[in-house]
Amino acid sequence: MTAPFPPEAVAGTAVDPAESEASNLFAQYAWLARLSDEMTADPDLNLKRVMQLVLHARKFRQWHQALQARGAGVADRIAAVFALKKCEWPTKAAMSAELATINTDANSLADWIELNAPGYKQGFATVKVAAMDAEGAPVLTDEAMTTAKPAAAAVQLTALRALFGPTPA
Amino acid sequence: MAISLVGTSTGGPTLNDVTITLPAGIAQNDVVYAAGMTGTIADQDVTESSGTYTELADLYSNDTNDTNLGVYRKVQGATPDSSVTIDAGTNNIGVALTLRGVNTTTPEDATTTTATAPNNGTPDPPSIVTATANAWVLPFAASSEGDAVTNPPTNYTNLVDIQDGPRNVMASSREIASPGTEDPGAYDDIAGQTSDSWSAATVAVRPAPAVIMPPPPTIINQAVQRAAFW
Repeated sequence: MTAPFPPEAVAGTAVDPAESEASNLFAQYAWLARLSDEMTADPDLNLKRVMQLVLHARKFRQWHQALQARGAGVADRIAAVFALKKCEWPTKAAMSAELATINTDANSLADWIELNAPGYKQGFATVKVAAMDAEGAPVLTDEAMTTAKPAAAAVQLTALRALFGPTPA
Repeated sequence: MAISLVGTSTGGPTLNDVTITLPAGIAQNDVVYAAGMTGTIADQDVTESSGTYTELADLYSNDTNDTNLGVYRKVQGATPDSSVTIDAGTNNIGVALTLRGVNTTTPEDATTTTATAPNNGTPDPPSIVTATANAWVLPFAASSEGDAVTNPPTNYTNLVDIQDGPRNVMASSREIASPGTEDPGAYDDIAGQTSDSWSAATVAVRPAPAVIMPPPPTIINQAVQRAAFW
């Protein structure tokens, strides 16, 4: 037996773009899992969370599409990066199918939010009317604003959460 | 309470504002230190887009290949941020370190020190004087030379870096057990040329106060206990 010679040890080798893209995909995957979990449990809609959900759904789509464009063999790279983060599937086919479903469902929810609740962007940096500067202009604050959760949003959030397994102990 | 690393993040390259996705395990009172940079364009007013971060440095180094570097900090609230967006002009890249166990009232242990230099692409973050035991020192740096960075300065860990053409931004960390002057070494993996420039900011992070534990209950009658045991 010989130890494998790492490709990165060859002079002039650049980082594999698919590896970088898979890392970016995982970062969005982790946020979609967390946000769907917390937003489903929360009785109200936190506007900052809503903004974050839209952002990470769009970024998930960006990296998912980039990886799909790389074609055959990309599932191996995705599986390897996700396995480093203790996220493993029984088969690569199951992983690919579930990532595709998460991409579709998360972005459907993001579409719904943009269509029905354009005011969600306030959550990016909540403008509190009560907070005004010396000249009377609104001051950006970090205080979260909440609103009643529409039934349609609740249904979609619950469905998105159900795509992920139980929260680790 | 000792400072610990929640995670490191990179963002970009992007044509305009760079959005850095923060680690999904971020929690209230975690502190994010983020930096964004661009190279080869004139002096920029580097900004954090939400306006909720505190600017620790906005640096510019002028040569044939310029560097702009901005460094920001935020103590996270009840709904932590999932990303931070920095506008450094065009063609931005960024890095972030998310820390736990930081003093949320006074996150920095000293005023951030800065340095810039032309004619050279090897960033050499300036020294800083820490005041509190077990403070962390974070040397942020940017260079207009895009060499890969695989080593932090000597004795430093948690290297995070990203390159894109004539742009390079990086950070790392070291815990300083005893207060005093700490001079991080240079990011020597970057060679550069006389047409290059670099900018750097050294941040000292103060740990949260230790939790004082109540004294253990006094054993009043040890003789009786020993007798019972034997």
